[in-house]
Amino acid sequence: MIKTEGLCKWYRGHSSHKISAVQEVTLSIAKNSFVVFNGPSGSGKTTLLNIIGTLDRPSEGEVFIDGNNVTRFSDIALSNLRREKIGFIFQDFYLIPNLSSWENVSYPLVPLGISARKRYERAKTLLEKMGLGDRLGHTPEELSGGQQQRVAIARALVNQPKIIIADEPTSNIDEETGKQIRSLLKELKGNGATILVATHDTSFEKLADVVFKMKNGFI
Amino acid sequence: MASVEAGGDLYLTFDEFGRNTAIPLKYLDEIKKIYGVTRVVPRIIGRGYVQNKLSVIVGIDKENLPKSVSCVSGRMFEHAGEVVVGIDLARHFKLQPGDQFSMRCQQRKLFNVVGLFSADAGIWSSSLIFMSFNDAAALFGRQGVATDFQIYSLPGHNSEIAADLYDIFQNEPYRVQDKHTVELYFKKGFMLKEGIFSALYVIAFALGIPAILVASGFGLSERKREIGIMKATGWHTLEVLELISFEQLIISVLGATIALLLSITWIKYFNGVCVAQFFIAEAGMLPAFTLPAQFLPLPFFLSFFFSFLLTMVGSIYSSWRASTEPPVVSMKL
Repeated sequence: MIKTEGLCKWYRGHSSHKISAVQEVTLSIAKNSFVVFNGPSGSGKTTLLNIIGTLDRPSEGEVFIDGNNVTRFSDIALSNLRREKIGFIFQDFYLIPNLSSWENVSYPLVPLGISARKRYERAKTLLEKMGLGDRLGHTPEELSGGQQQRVAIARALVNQPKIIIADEPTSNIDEETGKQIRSLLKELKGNGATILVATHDTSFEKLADVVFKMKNGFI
Repeated sequence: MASVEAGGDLYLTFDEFGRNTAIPLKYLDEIKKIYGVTRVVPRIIGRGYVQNKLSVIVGIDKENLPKSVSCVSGRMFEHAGEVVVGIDLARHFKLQPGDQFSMRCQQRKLFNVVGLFSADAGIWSSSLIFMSFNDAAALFGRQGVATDFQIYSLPGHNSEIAADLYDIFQNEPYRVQDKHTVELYFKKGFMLKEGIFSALYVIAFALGIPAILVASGFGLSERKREIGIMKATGWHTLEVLELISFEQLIISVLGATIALLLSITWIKYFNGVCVAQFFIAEAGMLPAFTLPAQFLPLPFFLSFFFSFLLTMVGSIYSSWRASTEPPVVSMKL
């Protein structure tokens, strides 16, 4: 389902010095698997997931999703791919500060032309499932870190994606919420989704079908 | 308008290159003899600086002054070297009856202030200086000419008088205009001034408000992150730009409305304090007269247009840049 070939990503540092974040990564991920990318900070986990999730472009190499070379996709095709197939959970939540919980969750549905009422209903269902049924009208600053992360997860699921990419989903939240999130990801995998998690939290390894260890940009 | 209404029935000048020019006094007696003419008043109207302030000088003999002209302090001029000064000019230089001053164009000549003249109606009359015809002629160094003759006539005689003037000035380039024509010029010029003033004023505000927002980078970083999030969750670049354009449209309408309300309030209730001088040079920080202004639909539409243009220029390019970058770049700022 997901395949990478010779994936590299580098940045230009001071005096044109090349800094490699991801180096020669070739891997294959089967459909409906739970994959964990483990490694210390700066090992390239986040960069790799960003490239696989089409949030960033590689310097070299190719990414295939469902057999399509997405590195050659246009801007619109990439947006369509993210809209239909990929949901993101970020370490820093990336919620829009001036929108309420339900508005944040339903934001990806706005360009689809779905009515506000239907968007609200769908967001409400997801947020109730996340235990945030009483926080629908709260803005991110009125929520705890754990609650914000659950709103972000609800947003990632609103389009019913087949691929969930989670970058350090438990690093900014308490242990109890972390357990809930792990349990939720396991449930999503059970519903047929492919889960990719970048983390240095070893407790995810128990859930994983495959664990990739990363160091200095290499697998 | 009061001065036009109280003025002559015909205005006579010479004409050179399509502009009014001085008319020799030698024709005065001949014109007075025309049947239907009751009175002919020669005037000198010119401009000159008192230090750095531009003033309008009116040279006219005391007996020919319109009845509407009266002094709020002191008396009318009677002798050579005596002047009556407009109230705005008097305030500016703290002049009182009994003071003396000189003009920049002839600094050795001292004028004695004998009275202060107040005119609520006009912008320009507040900086007027009235003096005798001969003093004005001496000041400008033009003896034997006047800037115009005001001809007062019996009702219904203007066309016959014009025909007689043609006979007198057969080979001379002269121009005669009746009171009605002068009134039309005056009104047209005045309304034009009002229109320009209000248009500029509204547009200035309409540009100013979004310009401050744009220049201060209002919400730029938050907006860039938001665009990154939108793109990450599947929004197309065009959908992002469509949303931003819609928001800018609302901001523009709001900006133009605020601009209009501010400008109406500022002009009507604060008489354009501080800003009037940018549009009317002589107005000063605190205008001494009621500012002419009118608010029409066109300035509002212009202000909306410029407001929209500015907000679009300030936001669309940066939004387009943010939405065509990889989402991870926009989100991380």
